[in-house]
Amino acid sequence: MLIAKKSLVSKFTSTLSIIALVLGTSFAPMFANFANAASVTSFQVILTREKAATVSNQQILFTIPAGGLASGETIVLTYDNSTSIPGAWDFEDADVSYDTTPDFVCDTGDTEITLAASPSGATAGIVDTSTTVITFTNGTTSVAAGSEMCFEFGTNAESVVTGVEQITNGSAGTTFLTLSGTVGTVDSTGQAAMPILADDQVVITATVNSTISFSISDNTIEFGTLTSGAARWADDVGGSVTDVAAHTMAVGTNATGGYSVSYNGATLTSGGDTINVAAATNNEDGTPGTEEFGVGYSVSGDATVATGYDHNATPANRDWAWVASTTTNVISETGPTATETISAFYLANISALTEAGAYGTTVNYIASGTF
Amino acid sequence: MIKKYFLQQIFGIVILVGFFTATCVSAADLTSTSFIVRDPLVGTGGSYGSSASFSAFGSGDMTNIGRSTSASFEGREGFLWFPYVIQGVFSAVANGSNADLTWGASTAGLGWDVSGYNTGIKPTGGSYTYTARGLVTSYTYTGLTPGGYCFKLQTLDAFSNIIATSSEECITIQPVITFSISDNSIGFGALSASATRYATGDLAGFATEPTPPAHIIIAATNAPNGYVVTIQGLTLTSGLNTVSSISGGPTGLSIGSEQFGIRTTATGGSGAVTSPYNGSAGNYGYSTTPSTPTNFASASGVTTATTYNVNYAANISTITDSGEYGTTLTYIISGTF
Repeated sequence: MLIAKKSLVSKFTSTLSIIALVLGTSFAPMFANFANAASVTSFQVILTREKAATVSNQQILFTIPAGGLASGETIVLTYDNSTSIPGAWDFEDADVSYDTTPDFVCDTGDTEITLAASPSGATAGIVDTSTTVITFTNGTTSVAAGSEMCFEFGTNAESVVTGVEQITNGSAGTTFLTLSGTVGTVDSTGQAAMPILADDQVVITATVNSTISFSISDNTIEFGTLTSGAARWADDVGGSVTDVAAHTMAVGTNATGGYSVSYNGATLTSGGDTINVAAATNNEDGTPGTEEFGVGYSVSGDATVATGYDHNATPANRDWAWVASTTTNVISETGPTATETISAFYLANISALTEAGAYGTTVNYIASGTF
Repeated sequence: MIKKYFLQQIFGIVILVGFFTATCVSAADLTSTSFIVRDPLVGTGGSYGSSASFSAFGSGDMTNIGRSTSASFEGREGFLWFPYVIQGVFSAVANGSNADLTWGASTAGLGWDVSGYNTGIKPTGGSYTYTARGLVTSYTYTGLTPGGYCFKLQTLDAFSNIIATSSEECITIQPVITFSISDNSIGFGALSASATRYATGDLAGFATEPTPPAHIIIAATNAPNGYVVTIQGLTLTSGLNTVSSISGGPTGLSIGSEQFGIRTTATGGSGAVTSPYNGSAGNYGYSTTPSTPTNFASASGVTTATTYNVNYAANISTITDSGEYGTTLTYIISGTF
């Protein structure tokens, strides 16, 4: 009887040993996992500024390991290197989303998680528990393993309302962001590094010097002999009975406000005798038989010819004018321009009573840019 | 009958006693202060070896500790041969993404000569991988990704046999990302409609692409998935006026037309410049969306330092508004750990 009992005990012990061996072999790795945290992967922190002691938006991305994110689990983000989360920072300064297909992008294809100061139902809670720690506590949302989670902190948090408070970078050097909490089958961890620079920007300067060019094609023009029977036009070969340009002027500038051209000169004068100035509009040749000295202009570009001086393509619509001894703007351009050509047409008529003599005048042209 | 039996037994006992007594006499124990060899066999040499503390009669012809060699044989004489090795102190120290291993030279003797070392590395959850390092006393593992690592040192004899293995030394490598910009203020000087101008660090600009460049950027990381450098910034601007950037590219420079662009070359590490900033000589590019960050350079894995030589070129036309122009470019790096 004793022998039988011993045999039973021995069999029982052996069976237990086998079971223990099988269980141990099968589940040992699992128990081992419980003892070691898993790491999140593709852990990335993107700042909008990496300058020391400067506020910056943050975009934090990582892929959740085995187990995913389950109800009530937490994700704790801890900064070092004097990084400072402002006291006024709250859930409205954060967006949290996830994407089952990781794409390293927060807003495209992501599902936003509703946030509040504390979790309730599907709403998750997110708070700054110190100047360096932000704690996210999941609501009832379930996020599958392998999903990409995204945290946005700062003015880039625009899911419900646009965030206001931004996190201030730490000192020049390296800032570590450490992830901990209870997410995943085993508590996940992770660490990312961010370089913080004394200055993360390059300032570039350049100068565009002011330029203006101005030239007059001919400085001596002539009418020849004036007559009371027909108008004459000045040119550089003794005058003309037809309407021709006496000279041209070329103007170009990079002045932001463009340029203007003015003239200043007396009318045709011979000693004490003068020829009256013209003020004719829509007129091909003024009024032959009546004293008139005037000028009209045409331009090659888009400059504007002042009223009363328009020498357009239609002879009958041309204007002739002269303001004696007064600086008078006749051409204007509102912005920078490549070289434009201004053609000047001078008209003279005399009457039968116009005093004989050699008449002449000197006209000063001035071009000025508005820089 | 009984008497005869006893006599036979006594005779046998005497014979046996005689036999053992004779054996003990002919094979004396060999002793020193630290060992004793009982009943050594008689050797063939007919001579004896000795040291200060013992004599081994008939065990061979060695008179000194060591080995006897000739062109055709090597004699290692029995218990006289005691090779030994002593390893120096072995340590492992984390240094950024590197693990600096140092050790004291191993000492060996009595047949072992130290010819070199193997270092072994084992990432957390992995197994050891050993690599011969030669007869040195330090080695640095570089470019290690973040995580835990353990190291061992093996000492090798003249035949590269492992004669000693150290205990393991374990360290943790933290995430590392380095980024620097050599100059935060550069300038073109006066731009021209008749010649391309290049920015320089002295703000005066230059008529040809400068060497050294306007500034350099250096980036490195031990992030397993590398890094991305982005650039964000508008073109040259003066109030409401701008110098049109090269939107896209890279493309050739065109004197007399407004252009603002960047050309960058990379040296060292595995980082590479991203299009359109990677033009060949004379070809520049710029973002088509300069108000948002765009990729400037990247590395796909762990990399040592890559130096990016960054040059800026500008052209203007004759009608480019005069004024003082400027822009601010923000460079950001992010690692994917």
